[in-house]
Amino acid sequence: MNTPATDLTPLQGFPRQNGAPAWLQELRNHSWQVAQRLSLPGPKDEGWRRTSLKGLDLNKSLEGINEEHAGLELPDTPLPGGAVLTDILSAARLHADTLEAHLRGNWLDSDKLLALNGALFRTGYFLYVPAGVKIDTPIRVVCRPASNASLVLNRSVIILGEGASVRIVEERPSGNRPAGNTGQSGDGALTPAYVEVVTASVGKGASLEYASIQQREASSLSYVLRQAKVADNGSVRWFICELGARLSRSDTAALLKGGNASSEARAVYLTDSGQHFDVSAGAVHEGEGSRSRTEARGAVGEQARAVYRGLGKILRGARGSDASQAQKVLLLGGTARADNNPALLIDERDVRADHSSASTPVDPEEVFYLMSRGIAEADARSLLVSAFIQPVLDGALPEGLQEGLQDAVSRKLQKLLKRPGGIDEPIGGGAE
Amino acid sequence: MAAEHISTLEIEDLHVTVNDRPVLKGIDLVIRGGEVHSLMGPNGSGKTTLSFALMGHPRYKIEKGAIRLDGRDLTGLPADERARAGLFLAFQYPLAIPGVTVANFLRQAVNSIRGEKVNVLDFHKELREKMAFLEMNDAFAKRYLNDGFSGGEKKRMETLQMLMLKPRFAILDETDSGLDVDALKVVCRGVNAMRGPSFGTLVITHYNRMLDYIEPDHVHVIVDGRIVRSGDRSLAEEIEEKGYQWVRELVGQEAAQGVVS
Ligand SMILES: Nc1ncnc2c1ncn2[C@@H]1O[C@H](COP(=O)(O)OP(=O)(O)OP(=O)(O)O)[C@@H](O)[C@H]1O
Ligand SMILES: [Mg+2]
Repeated sequence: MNTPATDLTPLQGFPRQNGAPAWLQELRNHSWQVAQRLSLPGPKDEGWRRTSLKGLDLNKSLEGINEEHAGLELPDTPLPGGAVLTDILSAARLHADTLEAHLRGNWLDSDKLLALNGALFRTGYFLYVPAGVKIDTPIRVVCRPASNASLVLNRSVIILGEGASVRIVEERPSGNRPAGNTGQSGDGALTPAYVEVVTASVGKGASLEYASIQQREASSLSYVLRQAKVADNGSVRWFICELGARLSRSDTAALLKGGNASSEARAVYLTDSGQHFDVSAGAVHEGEGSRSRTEARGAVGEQARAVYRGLGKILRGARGSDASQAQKVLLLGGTARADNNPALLIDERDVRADHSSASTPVDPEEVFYLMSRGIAEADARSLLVSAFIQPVLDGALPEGLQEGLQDAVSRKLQKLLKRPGGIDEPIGGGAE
Repeated sequence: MAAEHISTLEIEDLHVTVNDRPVLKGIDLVIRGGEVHSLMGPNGSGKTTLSFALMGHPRYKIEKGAIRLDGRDLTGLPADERARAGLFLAFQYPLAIPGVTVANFLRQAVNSIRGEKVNVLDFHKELREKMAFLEMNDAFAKRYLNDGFSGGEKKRMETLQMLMLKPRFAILDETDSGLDVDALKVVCRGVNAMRGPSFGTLVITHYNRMLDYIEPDHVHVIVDGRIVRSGDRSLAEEIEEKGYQWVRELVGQEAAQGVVS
């Protein structure tokens, strides 16, 4: 894009030093330039055709950038085997070499918001698991920003050495707003804005299980970009659940660099009246015999819109690789809108790739079948929508956290189905 | 003990269209508690249409006529209210609902039908007993409803639902189709277990073999949306022997003679 960006007021003293080491400052400065140069991504930009950031006032947001370390909750129990979990700015000092090498190879500033994140991020975590170390206890990270933040920039890094394994759950709740400030705004402004980047490096034979549950406030923008590079025989399993925010942009990609590297992504999105979600998940295959499976399920309510962008690229040389994408959306009403754009790009002959995609209303024959067993229509619909989502939720989170996920999903579904009380029956696989 | 009340299901001059096309052209039928009626007829004659119309499928429009259960007109009611009034339909092609387990589904159905929350332990005990009675493995309770079930397993599941919901009238739409001999016996055992003055049934079938296990009191033949013959068990045998062409010809002759207008 050649259009000069004019909307970012040069900010006094930005990017701030934060006591950052020189290499980080250099990366930040670069991104700051990029942020100044670029316009906000818009309909003319690849990948943003169907999602508009209208309503985002960056200058206003910048005035209320989140305080350092605000709200990031990390478990304080020490990790075994020399593993490290700390906040990103501490890591920049204490684990400078490891972090620098990673960030230099995984610096993402291809659009204005990402560039701003690079230039100014304040929070985020650094998780390092040395070779051979397997962490059994799942790690739970909560990013609960300060009540008055209008811009939250998180940058997190996960590094797994050879044969290491870890399971991490990221929660993205709404901020603790003071009474009277519900995060609702009548003027259509997207605030607060969350821009978060998570990059992972998964070593040979290492295994990363990652889950994210997004429940940001109803007026907010949530933009999260995740990317994992996976070496030989390594694997990444993603679980992405999008429930909150007014505009949610959620990108999740595995770059399968090594031979027999694999990824599995499961995404669930429930888009309610007034919400706009733009979700992408998938993999880029570079390694021979690499495998990816992506399964996305969405439910879209009246006056809601969900865009899904598949990602399945098989680059030359990724012989014998296998990419499969399945995506299904339930449309809950005449004004619900879903766009599915599977993207399958194959540059190698000896591969397997398939994709399926469907948007349908709740099947009236299924509703009738349940009603013929005495179940009232509203309950039948609710049961069917839950059932549709359930297979992707099964086993998504470690025991102890799964129940909270089920509750959050079920509350959101009741909202989508416009049912005030909520049904009291547990539904689905694990419930019996 | 007072004599048990005998229920009546009355179908009166029922006209049904599907996508504006007339399919049922005046069906009259009365089923009383304790009775087994069998309905036979060629493919496409309207048997499933009748069962869907009775159960209240919104696509099967009742243009004329009425369905009454003990005098109460069910015609305008949605399916769930008909089910709560005591009607049950075993589907010719039961649907699979991945994501809903058999046990959870049945518990919700039983709660709705009985109008109260059944005790969870009692429910599971009853479910296990009925599954054992139908020679079903316990594991089915935890599986998703009809998901990946074989044809025969689905029919057993329909029978299990009937036993759990205890309807006053059940319509069995070809519940015998696709069953092996042993499964057929099991399903018929389920139906016979329900038999009694407070249970009436309409058994839709193409074959006499089901009627060997469930002795029908009345047999009706439907052709082109009309019941053209009613009789006893021997009618079913005659049909098996001579085929529907025989009925069609008979009806044709009678029409020519002015017996049927
Ligand atoms: N949903 C529908 N859409 C279109 N036509 C239908 C529908 N349901 C029934 N019909 C038509 O109505 C007629 C009666 O069908 P019905 O399913 O009732 O037959 P049936 O007697 O049950 O046949 P079978 O023995 O094959 O089960 C057929 O011509 C059928 O094509
Ligand atoms: Mg039929």
